Amino acid sequence: MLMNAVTSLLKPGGKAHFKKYVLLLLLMAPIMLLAQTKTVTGTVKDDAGNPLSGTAITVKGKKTGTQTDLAGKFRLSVTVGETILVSNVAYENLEMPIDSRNDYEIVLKTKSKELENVVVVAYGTQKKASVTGAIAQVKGDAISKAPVGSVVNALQGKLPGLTFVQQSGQPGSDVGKIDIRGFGNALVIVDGTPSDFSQIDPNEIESISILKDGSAAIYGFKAANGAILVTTKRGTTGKPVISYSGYYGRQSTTRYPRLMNAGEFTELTDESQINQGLPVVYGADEVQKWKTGADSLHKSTDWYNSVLRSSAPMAYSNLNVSGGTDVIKYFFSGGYLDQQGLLRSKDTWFKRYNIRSTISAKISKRLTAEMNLSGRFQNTYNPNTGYTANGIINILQRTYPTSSLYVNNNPDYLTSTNISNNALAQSRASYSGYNSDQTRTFTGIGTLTYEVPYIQGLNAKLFFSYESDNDNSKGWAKQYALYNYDASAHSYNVAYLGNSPSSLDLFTSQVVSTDLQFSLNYTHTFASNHHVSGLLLFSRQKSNATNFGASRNFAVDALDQLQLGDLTGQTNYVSSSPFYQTAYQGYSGRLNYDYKGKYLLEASGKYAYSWKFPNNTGFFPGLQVGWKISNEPFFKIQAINNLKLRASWAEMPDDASASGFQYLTGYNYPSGAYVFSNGTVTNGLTPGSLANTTITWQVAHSYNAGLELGLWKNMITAELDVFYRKRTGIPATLSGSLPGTVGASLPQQNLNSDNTRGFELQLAFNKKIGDVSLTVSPNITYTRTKKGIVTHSPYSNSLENYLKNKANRWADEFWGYKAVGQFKTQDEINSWAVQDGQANKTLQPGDVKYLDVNHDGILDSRDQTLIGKGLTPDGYGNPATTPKLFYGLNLSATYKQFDISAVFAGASDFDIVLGGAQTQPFANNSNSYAYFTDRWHHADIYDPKSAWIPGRYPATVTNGKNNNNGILSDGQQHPTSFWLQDATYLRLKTIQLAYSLPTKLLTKAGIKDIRFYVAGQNLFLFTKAKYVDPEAPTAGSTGEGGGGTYYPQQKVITLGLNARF
Amino acid sequence: MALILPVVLIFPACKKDFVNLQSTSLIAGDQAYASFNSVQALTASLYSNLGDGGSGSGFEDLRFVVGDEATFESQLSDEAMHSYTWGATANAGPLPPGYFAWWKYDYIRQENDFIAKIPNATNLTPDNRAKFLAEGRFIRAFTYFAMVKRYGGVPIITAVQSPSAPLDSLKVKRNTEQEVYDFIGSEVDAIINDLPEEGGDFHATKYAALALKCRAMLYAASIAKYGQVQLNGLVGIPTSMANTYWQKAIEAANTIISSGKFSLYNVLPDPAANFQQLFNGADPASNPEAIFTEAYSLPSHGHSFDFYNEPQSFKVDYGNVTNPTLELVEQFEYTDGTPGKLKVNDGTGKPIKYSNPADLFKGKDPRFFASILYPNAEWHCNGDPQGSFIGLRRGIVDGADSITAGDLTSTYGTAPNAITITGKDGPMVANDPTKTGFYIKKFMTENAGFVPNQDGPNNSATSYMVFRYGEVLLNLAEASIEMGDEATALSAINQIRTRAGIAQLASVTRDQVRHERQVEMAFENQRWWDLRRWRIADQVLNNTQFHALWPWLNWEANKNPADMKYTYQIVDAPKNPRTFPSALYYEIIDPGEIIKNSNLVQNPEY
Repeated sequence: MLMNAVTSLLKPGGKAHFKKYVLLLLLMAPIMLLAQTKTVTGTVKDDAGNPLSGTAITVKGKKTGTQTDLAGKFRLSVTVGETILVSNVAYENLEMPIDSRNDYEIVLKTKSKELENVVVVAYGTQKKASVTGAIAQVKGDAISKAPVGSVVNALQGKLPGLTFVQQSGQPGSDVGKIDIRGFGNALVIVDGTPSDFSQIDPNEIESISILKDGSAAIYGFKAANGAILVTTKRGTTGKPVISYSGYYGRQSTTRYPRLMNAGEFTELTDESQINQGLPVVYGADEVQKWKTGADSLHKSTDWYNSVLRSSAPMAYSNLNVSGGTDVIKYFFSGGYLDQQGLLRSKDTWFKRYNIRSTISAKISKRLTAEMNLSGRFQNTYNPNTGYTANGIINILQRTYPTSSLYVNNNPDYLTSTNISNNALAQSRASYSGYNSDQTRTFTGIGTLTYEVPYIQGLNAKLFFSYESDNDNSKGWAKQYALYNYDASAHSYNVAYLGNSPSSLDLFTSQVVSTDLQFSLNYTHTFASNHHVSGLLLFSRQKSNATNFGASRNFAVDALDQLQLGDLTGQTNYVSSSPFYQTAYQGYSGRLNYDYKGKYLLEASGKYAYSWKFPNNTGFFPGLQVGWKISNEPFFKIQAINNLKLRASWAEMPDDASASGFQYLTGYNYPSGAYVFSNGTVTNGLTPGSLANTTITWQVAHSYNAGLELGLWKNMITAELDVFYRKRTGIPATLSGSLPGTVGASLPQQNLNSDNTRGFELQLAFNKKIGDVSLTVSPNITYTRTKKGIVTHSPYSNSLENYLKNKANRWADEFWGYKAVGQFKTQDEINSWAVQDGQANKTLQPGDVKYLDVNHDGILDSRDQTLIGKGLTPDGYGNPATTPKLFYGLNLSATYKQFDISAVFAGASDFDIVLGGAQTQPFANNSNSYAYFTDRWHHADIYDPKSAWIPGRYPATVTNGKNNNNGILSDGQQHPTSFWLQDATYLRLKTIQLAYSLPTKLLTKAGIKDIRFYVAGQNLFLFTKAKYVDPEAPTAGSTGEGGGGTYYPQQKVITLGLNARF
Repeated sequence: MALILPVVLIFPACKKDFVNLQSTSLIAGDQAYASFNSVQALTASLYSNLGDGGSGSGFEDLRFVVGDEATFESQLSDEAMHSYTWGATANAGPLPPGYFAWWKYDYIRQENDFIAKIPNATNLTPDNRAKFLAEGRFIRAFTYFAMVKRYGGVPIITAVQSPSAPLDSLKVKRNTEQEVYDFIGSEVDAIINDLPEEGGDFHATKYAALALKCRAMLYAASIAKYGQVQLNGLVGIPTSMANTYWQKAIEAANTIISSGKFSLYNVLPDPAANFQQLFNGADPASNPEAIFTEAYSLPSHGHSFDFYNEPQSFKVDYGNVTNPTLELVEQFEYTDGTPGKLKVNDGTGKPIKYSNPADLFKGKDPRFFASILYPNAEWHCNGDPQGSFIGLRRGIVDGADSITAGDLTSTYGTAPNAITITGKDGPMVANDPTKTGFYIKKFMTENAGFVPNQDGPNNSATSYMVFRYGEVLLNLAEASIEMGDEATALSAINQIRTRAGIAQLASVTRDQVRHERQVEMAFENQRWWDLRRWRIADQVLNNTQFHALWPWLNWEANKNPADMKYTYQIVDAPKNPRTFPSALYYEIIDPGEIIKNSNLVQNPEY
């Protein structure tokens, strides 16, 4: 009988039987106590028949144990009736009762496969086979391979349906923007409660799954854009496993355009003056001196490389221990990240410390308690440039290369440059101060699970979470001086006093969020074929945010402590933006039913309450169905081991676009201020907007259809999802009906709509050929949003309607003037449509030529047309990068002691638009990018009559000529396709090459395994886009040097180590 | 069973109340009109709407209008040029339509709401209630003045309209320009006895209302005399009305003058220092010339005039922005009353050499020294790390060579006789330093607690005189000369000139009155509107190239540069010419408003 038990275990689907036998054995145990101690032998193999060396064999409840040798064999003294515990990290633990046999053949199931078969869903887990929604999941160990500061940045290319754009490489601020299917901000749930996961230690994460469709509906408000579920690691039964991971690496810039040197700068400056009919600034002789570096006064300064280093270090360590018994399971983890920035001064950095402790205890037969405590401390440190580190980049871009670093080459005296600033001064905290932002996050989650007696399969769960985020920022603006040199007096004079007087600003804010959930879970199988499970859930969430700041000026600035500042002029303030309260409540239910694993059904519903509205509740249903065709008796195609069709629908409320308390009338205070008597400010009391009692949430209607396919025992798998999401009732103001003379604007109404559609396809190929295990898994995501109803002011004519009406148009359409080359000759200018409103008198050869779309001979706003794609205006009207196509390719292979994994990722079907200093030479009196030297210019730049020499860019004009900036005949500015670039790209996102030391060398030292690796992030980039990283922020503002002044994306190369004891 | 208890406890608590939060920012309506302080706060909001320098929605009568992108209208008139070579509307050709748009019916609504509710406010004395009501009406009249001078006739709305009223009833028509000016006049007449004689520093007084009326009537009279009636009077006023309005302006001025409460500020013996102190330094609450003043108070309520205008070597971040034109500089006469043309060249056309660059300006109208910073003008800032003068030098003339530089640091000559080629404050042909060789001085805070910090602006507390006695005299002079009363005009002008410290006139013409207004009120947000209402903007600003004054150091070998001499050169300012299409005499009505209200008629030439 016992043999049967073991063999049945080896059979597929034998696990359920096995439990029964264990139970039986336990019952028989007292009888077996009579048995003798004996020595047994055994072999441990994996499910492919390979021996598993280094597997731990312990006697349950005792300290005795051993390990398997290279052939997977073991010998152990045991007593009949005892149970041995077989554990190997990569495999499912197995308990084996000792019976009369003396030799045991033990097969361990691969753990990873087992995990793949279970996915984390809302408020629980589900077998992959019975999932009916669109859910993708990635495991923690796949994420932790990427050497990145934020775990978010490890997700690109891994999860079909997840869109990703990383716009900065600044330590601590480099978190990529992700969302699901292009829907917008997704709800992030960490261990069951809304939270942020961007700074969780990657080695704390067990899995991340994304719920892309109605699967997220049960979360109610906030989940309309899908949900990202992050699950942290738990302890497992077995001996403690201590794991260490660490790496050290160097970060360097992926790409950033070179700035002009002094020769280029002076020459193009003079050219710009001549091109505008203004007096020259330098003259040919002077330009020549700068070009050749003729003397000590004409040495070009490379500001960029003087202030920034070519690479910056990054280090990471994590130590965790996991283990447990039947009663107590535990996971403890501590991690540390130190990411330095590119400043030579070393005054830009990000440090993060993470700890986590998860303990679960079986308190009684029916009651289990779990406590999950985590804490995080992070510190972002930057010099006090007033704009954080990308401010430095801005200053570098603005500083003339003709300005020297130091006055009279004396490093004690920093120069006051053309912008009365000096990037060296601004980059040194000791010189000009710093901004230090410290965040402390504590999360405590307690869970009690009670198995209800008398009703088999029913448990009750009480869940409470408390999260406190405390942010303390300290801004120290230290007075500093920049100098000039009086050669006649040999004296250094202060030319500029920055941060005068010194001041210190302290700001603290706190957000406390609580989440209380009570749920009943039921799982039961009736008549062996009807699998039923259900969930009833009550939840309520509250957040409270407060803040306070204070600042003082300093007469004596030796110490950066607030109490040493001057009382006069001190300010205390509360910032209104992060001061809020929110509250949500809901009753949810979900019912799952499947018949023989063939016909799958999930129905869910939620009564949700939001604090924002007077009528604050509604009911939102969802339904999912699935059909596993491959389980049908009639399905006889051998090669196809899995074929499943599934579909889902849900209605999901979303209150994000509506502001709270619109239903109240009242007065805002303080709003405006006036001085009625000398020295006293009287704050104003201003009537608020008209009350709005009808506004409510918008609703997302989510539809998804999926196909899952497994071929040749899942050697090849495919998963295809097609989706459509329609949103209705998006708040908008019915502008255009109410004359402005009324003096009030109508309140928002639920008027607009949009829809998003697309598909995802994920393929996987798994194969073991000899010693080589290979996985190849490509995925692709396509998503695009179309506006539906767009409420707008009436248009005066059909042309205006055509140009401005966004209704029923793709949201990522980018309109503007279509450039059709550059003028080559004056004759061409004379015969072309009027572009400048002045008979083209202001145009020169080299200037951008535009398409006269309406053939009226005048280029103005009416000639706008579709010029770009993948650019969606953000809330401020600036285009935001929104590729339609995202793709990833995950590769991994193992060969003996070696393993390699790589992720290629990219995006396509989008443009980036250059702007500000990227399109305007010498914008705002700045230096310029060197690419502008490839420009139209005269053969003799000082002779406006000499021949034109063509170039890629128009003739140089400071700030760019109106024509080339898109300001045409009617004086209004619109984008032009001249400054668009197709930004399709593919990059080698992550690569890791590892070598594991042979186990036999380690076992004696008590080490399970040691693995060395080299890894890289963003190592190679393939793109047609020039000068900037294709993920760079697109142009928005034109002030302050405009586009391009961001902290460039970084590539990272690391050396790392994983070890387990 | 352990879990049943909490479950029982939780479910009864699951009330809807959990999500009913209290607003943390809205104050209920019945509390707003329930105390003196809250009504005072409501009033502060009304005043602040008009003068708000921070949000940029205020209008130029009531505040320092200056911004990083040339909203200071001095730079759009003939007074000054915009220094920056980037980002300014003033750098573009003609002003784009709608540049001065100010269709502020949201303010009118707030004012009407206040005027309607104040009679029912509680806990106020009848006097206070009447005073607050009158202040509300004063602000409303001022709001309509700001609109009528832009658009001509606008709809006069005096009651709060319900947005749910029938749409057709909300499609109001424009009143005529004359009706709006008459409304301003009649409102001032109606409230004059409810407003106090003394304002308690900066509240509107009876005389503030009269000064508003005086200015408004002067504008109405000019429109009648120099404008054209178009669109059935929606813009323009019949010429026959001109004398009526001149007379009303004179009456308002005379009431202010005869009250005896105001006088021209005259406390310092040095007229230049006195004139400078009038705008910055005199106690704004007791300044005898101030009729209505917008005051500021740091740290929370400051403006950015100094931030944007400090000369190159004194600035914190922006600076430089207003560069007075040579044309304005030459408008300032010499103290003996001779025309203000600068003596740059001698009779033969050769440049005159000056030992000190400042000598060129000797003998000019003291108001010049109080209004404009010129080469080597004395100027201070904290601790004088930059020296105590304005360093202006275009370059160096060495024999036949003119040497100039593209930066402020390149030097010429060898130590110990080396010197920077360009002055520390410019002038330059590109970049930020002055383009004309001058900086603004009026209103500027010298050597003050100008406190730069990270966000730079909003650190000035110089108060702004919305109405001052000097303007009233100039209004009187203008209206009188237009009415043919030269004696009154001459007397008013000579009061101004005497205080200014220059020779009195024996007779006066209309042009001399206008000239006096130009120099006396330079940079006081008057010139742009004066050019418009006199209908001369399209001549003064007709493809006009303004000029700059460049100082050159004449190099002498083996000599200390401090001992070398300067010559001057007049050049075209390195800026494109400015022009004024006649359409700009009225602001365009936002076409979007016309779509929403078909009863609105667009202004001419749009």
